[in-house]
Amino acid sequence: MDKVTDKQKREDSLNGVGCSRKRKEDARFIQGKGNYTDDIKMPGMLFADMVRSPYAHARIISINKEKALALLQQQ
Amino acid sequence: MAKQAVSFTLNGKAVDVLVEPRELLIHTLRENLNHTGAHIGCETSHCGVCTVDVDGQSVKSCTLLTVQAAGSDVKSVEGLASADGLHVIQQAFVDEHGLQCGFCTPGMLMRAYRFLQENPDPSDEEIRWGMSGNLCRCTGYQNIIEAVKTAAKNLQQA
Repeated sequence: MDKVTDKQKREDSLNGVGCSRKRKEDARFIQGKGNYTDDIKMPGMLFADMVRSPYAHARIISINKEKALALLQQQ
Repeated sequence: MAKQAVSFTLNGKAVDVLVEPRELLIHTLRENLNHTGAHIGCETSHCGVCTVDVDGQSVKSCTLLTVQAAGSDVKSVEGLASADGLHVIQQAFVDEHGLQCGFCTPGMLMRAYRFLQENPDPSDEEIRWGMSGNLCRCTGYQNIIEAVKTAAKNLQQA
């Protein structure tokens, strides 16, 4: 008896418990249609970049966002 | 710098793109040609998720400038299945549970596609070596090797 039949017989006798199941999501993953976050493109999409403080412990005196907003204007 | 016109074949279809000389092939494929099957994992040629086939060789497409691909024949995971259905390698990955999150899978498939042409009847050891440029963060290596083994067997019977 070959491997496949053995496996089939075993799984049949288990009535579903512990049987391997075909995954529904595989079809898109193996064809390059995963649609991960980085794959998504939308009209007018913007990109964010986190600017973190270079200081471990400091008081925020002001947030100077003019330069960042000027980039948006350029778009 | 002035953009350059580059022409190559992608999955059997002629494509023309206008790119900066510094642009990498993976970015052209994903951003310009909307082929998002090949992913970007590290951008330093370590992880292999961007692997495509260029003129009969496995290439990490974050290693190649698009201008270097001019005139070449590029095959990506989108071109693996045909009108007849899934490629034998794709089916083997499904059957052997050779993927979990699926992120590394396009690279794995394209590497396996080339590897099994280089070595149609590999041993386990040879598969491990042959696929060693592709990383899987789910660490599902055992089933990936089973999938490549099954694919090799089925390709030989086909």
